[in-house]
Amino acid sequence: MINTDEILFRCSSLGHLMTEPKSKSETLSETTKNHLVDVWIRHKYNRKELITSKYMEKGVMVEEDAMTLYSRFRKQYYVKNEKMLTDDFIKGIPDIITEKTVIDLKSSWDIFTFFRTKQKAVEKMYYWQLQGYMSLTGKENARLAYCLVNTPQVLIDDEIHRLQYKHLSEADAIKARNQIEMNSIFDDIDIQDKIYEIEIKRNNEDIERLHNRIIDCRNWIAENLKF
Amino acid sequence: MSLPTLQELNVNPEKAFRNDQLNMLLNQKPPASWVKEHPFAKNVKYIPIERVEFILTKIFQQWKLEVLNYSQLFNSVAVHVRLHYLNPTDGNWYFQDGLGAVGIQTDAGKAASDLSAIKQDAVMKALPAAESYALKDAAEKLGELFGKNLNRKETAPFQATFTDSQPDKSKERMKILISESKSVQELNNYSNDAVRLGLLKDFENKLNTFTK
Repeated sequence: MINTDEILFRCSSLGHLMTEPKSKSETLSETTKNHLVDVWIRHKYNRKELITSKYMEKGVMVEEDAMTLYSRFRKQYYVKNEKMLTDDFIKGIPDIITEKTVIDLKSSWDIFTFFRTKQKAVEKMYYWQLQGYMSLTGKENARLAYCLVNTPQVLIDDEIHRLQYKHLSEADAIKARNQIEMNSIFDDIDIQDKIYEIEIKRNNEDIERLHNRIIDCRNWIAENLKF
Repeated sequence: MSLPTLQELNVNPEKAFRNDQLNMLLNQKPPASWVKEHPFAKNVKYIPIERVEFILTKIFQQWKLEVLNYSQLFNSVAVHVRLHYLNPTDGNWYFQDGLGAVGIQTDAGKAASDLSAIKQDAVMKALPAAESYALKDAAEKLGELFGKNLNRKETAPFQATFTDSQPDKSKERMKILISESKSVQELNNYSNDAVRLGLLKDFENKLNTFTK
């Protein structure tokens, strides 16, 4: 039997918990409830939905390259933090922890998604992820650093392989292949143009709201899902 | 002078490593439960066709068999096939050829060479059987998992040559930072970590370029 008070939520998923319900009479949104069902399944049955995409794959594969690019940009030697941090509510592995700041690196899929990010407000999922990291580390500042690093050859090959199903003429296929390769490598672009940082300040009120929401979530699991 | 390793010579060690890993998988010994004794041939072992087809699908996901030719050879039918398979390491199609032959059954008491005594359904049975043998023959060439060395006495086990060529990225990162340093002050930021990573030589070499 699992004690719901012992369930710790991953920082990368906190955005799901903080989605507001459509109706004010509800405590939790449908998104939150769906996520809680997934969490419950993981704890009770040890099953986890496998969600993967080429964007996620690239993120994992270029983690070290992004770290190198960011080190060159900041002229600081950074090493990936591998330690899982926990408190009474959440858990997470921030990429970089410095004296004053916790930093999370995000690798963009290509130059288009990278520059579009600059035009948008910080994604809520990332905002809550970093509030979580600040809560875990006690830091006052967090930084989201978007990095534009080369796509690994194996993923470029996958993209080129997909062209086979598009029934292109030989000339068009060669053109498309060259374009894919061009769109995947960014060695010719200045480092300063390949990093985009967003500073996020610690918000104690939001962290308290987060803790209260986690208590609500645990209660909802205890009331609605059987362990 | 020491000889270069295959890893050093290879134009794409990353790809070579993946190919090596696939070869290692293909050259695993088949589980004992897969291997059967041939019902007629003494001391001949084989892996049933359904198992061969199952492993082909499991490993390559996509494969197809092309019959290139079939013919009569003495009192047998022979089939030449080409097994095409999608290589998971690079997404390209490759093939292996295979040959299979099965004797044509004659009436009881008649000589196998007596073509006037061929049973009415003999070709119907022999031709697909020869095709199955040909498929297995082609698959065997892919590796031990398909029964490559089942009936050989002297075999050499497959040994991987290539290692994951991913360099120690954190060390590489430090090397880059040292080489890109534009002043002694900037370089000094890295001194502790450079020593810890065993890159004192790189650090000193760079320092010398500033002090010369």
